[in-house]
Amino acid sequence: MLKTRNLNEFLKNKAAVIGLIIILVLVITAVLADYISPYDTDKVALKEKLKPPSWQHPMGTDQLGRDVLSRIIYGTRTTFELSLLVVLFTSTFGVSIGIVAGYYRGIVDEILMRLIDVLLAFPSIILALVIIGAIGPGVFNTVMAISLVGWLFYARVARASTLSIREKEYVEGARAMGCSDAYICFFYVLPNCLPPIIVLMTLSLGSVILSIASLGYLGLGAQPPTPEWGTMLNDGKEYLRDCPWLSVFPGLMIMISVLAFNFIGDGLRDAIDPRQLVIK
Amino acid sequence: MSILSVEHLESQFVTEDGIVKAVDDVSFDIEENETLGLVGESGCGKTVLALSILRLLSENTKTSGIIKYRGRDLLQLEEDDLMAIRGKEIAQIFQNPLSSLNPVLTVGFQISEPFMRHQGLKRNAAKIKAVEMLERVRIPSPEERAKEYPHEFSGGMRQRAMIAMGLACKPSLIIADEPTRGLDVTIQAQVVELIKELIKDSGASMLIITHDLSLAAELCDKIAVMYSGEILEYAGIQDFFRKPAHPYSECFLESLPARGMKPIRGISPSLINPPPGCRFCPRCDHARDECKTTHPRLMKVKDGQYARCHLYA
Repeated sequence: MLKTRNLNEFLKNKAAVIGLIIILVLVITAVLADYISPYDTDKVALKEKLKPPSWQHPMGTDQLGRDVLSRIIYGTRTTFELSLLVVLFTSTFGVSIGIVAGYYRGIVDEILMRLIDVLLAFPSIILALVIIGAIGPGVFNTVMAISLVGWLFYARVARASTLSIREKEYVEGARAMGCSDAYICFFYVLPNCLPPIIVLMTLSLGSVILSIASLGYLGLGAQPPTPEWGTMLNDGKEYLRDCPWLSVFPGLMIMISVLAFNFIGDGLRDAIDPRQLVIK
Repeated sequence: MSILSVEHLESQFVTEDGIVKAVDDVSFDIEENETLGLVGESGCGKTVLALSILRLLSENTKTSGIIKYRGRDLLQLEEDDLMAIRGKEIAQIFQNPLSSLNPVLTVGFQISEPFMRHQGLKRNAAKIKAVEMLERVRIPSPEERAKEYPHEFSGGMRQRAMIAMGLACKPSLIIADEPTRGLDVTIQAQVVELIKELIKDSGASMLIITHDLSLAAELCDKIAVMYSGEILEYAGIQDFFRKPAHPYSECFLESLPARGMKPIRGISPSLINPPPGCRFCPRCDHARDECKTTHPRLMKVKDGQYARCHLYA
């Protein structure tokens, strides 16, 4: 269980706090995009195209004269919505599978784990490409493609925790009290295996953002005119030599947000790692 | 009629070294309002026996025999029917109160669980009942304490919380596995007093599992001595302490601090391939030739006292 002690531990970690501040700023940006973005993202103004950063357009304009800053701001929203959706899907599905496999063990466990081994043996981005190739590009399909690989890690972590928790005496106690398996899984196993899952969720948010951007860059993710960092990166690559701001700013945003989530994830892991608590 | 009657119970684990017979042909009865103490040294199979009654052992255990609770064989029941008995009619109190409480749920929540499960109470009503239970086991300021987590409780309080959970639905049989283990002596005395009082109030029968003979003396009406998976002696509490029948019981009593603290020589036999004769014979001062070869039956010493020893043949 997360306690004040863990919170203090987390707040002592400077990198984690910086990460948290960055993410908070980005989340606020995403939520308030309608109010803070200076221009309409889709407004084409060919007269204004490929303008370098200036007071009027702090991040310049793109090949259609659209304001890059506004597109970055709305891109934050796209990216965060998609990655949250992916993490929500993958964690829910993966954790359920992991708990079921770890709690019942036996043949169910064996089949699920071997399936996971097979899926893990595939390079994940290629698998995502194949899936998108099959079901077509698009925002929702991107989410599905990334989720299909993402749940594996949750399943593994949840199963590992469940294996140790199911042998705990309080689980035996709950059975002696007449609790059903479903009840035990939900109230006894799930909350006790949450700490590593929470760490995994933050860490994977970073990699999911990266995957979404990669698919966008390859032209398989969000389709134009939806503003999305990876797609913007792709649009800018033609003009990289003359107008680097088209690619540099989306690239920086991807890097900053991934880094920030990794900082938070590391900080959380250090703060709630039970082994470290024992040593102190 | 006895409330629980165990006949020819066997529990075996399959391990890489062979089959471990942790419980080997054990039979006993517990009458209404009676407390039976199951005593024996570590590793003799007491806990396995306790867990087999409610079928709480892991799947790789084979249990056979008959465990009749009020005429119903628990070993033959469907899992769903058994779930309705667990915690409602037969409650189990575990030996390690810290690890037997869920660390991420409040104590109040955990005590309210049996009320919701077996009496169909809503969460709020069950919470009120839980606070009442905490009060009954004499936890100070129960209302605030119910909102706390197990790690915020002291050892004695945790054990009392466990007892509260066990007694929540007024079970007719309580299985207590080492209820005072890990508690210091003063707290042990309090817990023993509490158990005594609660049993008297509720009229429940009880199976107490312990290696602590003084605890058994305080609480039990009858004693069963377990050794290497078998029951070696079965006696009323008075008879047992006045004149134990089996040589092992004698040694066990003499190992008590109050009676000289004499160690029993040797170690108990492996539960894989136990010796063919009497299992205690390598450590016994009265061992004869037939003890090495023939396995003794449980023999009648006098009314209500039985011993598994050739001395009484």
